[in-house]
Amino acid sequence: MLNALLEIAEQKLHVIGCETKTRKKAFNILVECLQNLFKHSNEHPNLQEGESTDIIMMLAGDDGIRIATGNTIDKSQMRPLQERLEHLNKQGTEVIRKQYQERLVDGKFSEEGGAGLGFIDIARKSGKQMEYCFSPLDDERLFFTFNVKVS
Amino acid sequence: MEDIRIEGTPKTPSVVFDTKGGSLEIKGRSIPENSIEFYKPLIDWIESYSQAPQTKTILNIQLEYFNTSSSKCILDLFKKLEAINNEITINWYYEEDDEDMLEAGEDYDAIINIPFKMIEIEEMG
Repeated sequence: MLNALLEIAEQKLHVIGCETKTRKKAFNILVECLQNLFKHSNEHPNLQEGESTDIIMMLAGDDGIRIATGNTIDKSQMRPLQERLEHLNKQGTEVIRKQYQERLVDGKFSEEGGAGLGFIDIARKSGKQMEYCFSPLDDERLFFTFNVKVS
Repeated sequence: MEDIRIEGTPKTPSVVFDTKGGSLEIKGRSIPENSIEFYKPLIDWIESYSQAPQTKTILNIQLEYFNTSSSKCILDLFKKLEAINNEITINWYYEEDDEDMLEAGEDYDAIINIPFKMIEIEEMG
């Protein structure tokens, strides 16, 4: 399914006819976002097999391309996520680049197979503020929405 | 030792590791979910190759896209090359205007103690 989605996204990016640079940034961010979703989503146990609350959108406007995702997470995942995103939003591009290099050298693969570089890379490729929101679903779960722009 | 020849897919690059020629090539896109699975045999190959390397070894690496999970494996691959005492060259290809890919090459160059040659090319097919 991931393959099919990426193929469609790539075709659409070509159709939009944006600059190669923007197209490649958008595709890269889309790959990271999708792989984040598949790794970190924590669905409600009442969902039937094959059902999902994950969403991903790519919106093309006059001012660039916006990529938005939404997924269910455990309450315990919120704080670390929020802290990482807040921290990245405060940093300039050179600092983010340095963090990427450090993480690349020191980082180990997590259990889910991530290198801990996903959001750093998204922040770096976008160069813009990342927007996000946590909406409570029940006592244990939150819906995490994330939104980033490339231009 | 045996050469490596792997065809490219929409998510993984084509690979040609030629023992006799001392020439290694990785080309295409590298965006698999499980990058360790893909890169482990390549890293192991370089480890074996480093036991009896050619006097000159060249790695041509030409990536259109790579994800963060691959970036770590690519670093590990460079580290295995770094451990070889004979002459090593890494040619890092990037498409014109793709500053992100150029920067990614510069990042590796800053970490790895092998001279990188940055080579700009026209858009990949």
